[in-house]
Amino acid sequence: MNPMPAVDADILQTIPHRPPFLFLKHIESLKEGESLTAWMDNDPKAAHYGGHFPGLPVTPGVLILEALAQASCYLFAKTIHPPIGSQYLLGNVKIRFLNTASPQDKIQLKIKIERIISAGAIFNICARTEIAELVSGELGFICKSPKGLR
Amino acid sequence: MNDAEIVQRIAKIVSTISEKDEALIKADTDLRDALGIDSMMGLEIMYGVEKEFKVHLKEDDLPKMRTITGIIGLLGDKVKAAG
Repeated sequence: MNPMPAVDADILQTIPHRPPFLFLKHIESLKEGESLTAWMDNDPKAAHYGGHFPGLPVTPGVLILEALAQASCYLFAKTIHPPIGSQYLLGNVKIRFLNTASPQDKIQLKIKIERIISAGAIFNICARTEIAELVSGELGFICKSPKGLR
Repeated sequence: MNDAEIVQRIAKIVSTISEKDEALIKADTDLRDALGIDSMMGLEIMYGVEKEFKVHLKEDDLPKMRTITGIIGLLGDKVKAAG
């Protein structure tokens, strides 16, 4: 049974990502300018499980990474309040995939700001299930305002 | 700490982030034009320099970080004094 049936409305108001490419589902706790704990949308009925892999579904690591990136965007937006219409361009990823997750796993996302400016940020990121760490590392992106960025 | 030592330490940071040979990175090398440093790498260099020298740089300083000489100018005397 999934205790978190819908995406938080606040997420939709804060980051530009939308289904079917929205993997951030629920915000557990937020410290603006510091850190975030959130939950990934890991829907066991998602189409990608049909192919990744037939008979042995594994949550794609790239989607866990994308969920971490979206959670980072959320923390950035809550801290910096960039203009509406801003784009987030992933620029730096240094991570390790440590364990696999299944469609039944609840995946927790933990984000901590390492360095932030109005045009971008570097984060320490971690994803885990109840029993295992899945992804750990560092992620950085640039936030491009609607007016553009050199 | 003298300027040459500071240049070497910053060049190592720039080399790691840009994945360019450290020997190619001189004090007055234009980081953007010669090494292709973009906005993301600029932020990474800023953060790397802050950690390396235990200083805090201002966001407004980023445009001045076109060369290692420019970065040293931002670091000022406190880094040299810190040894």
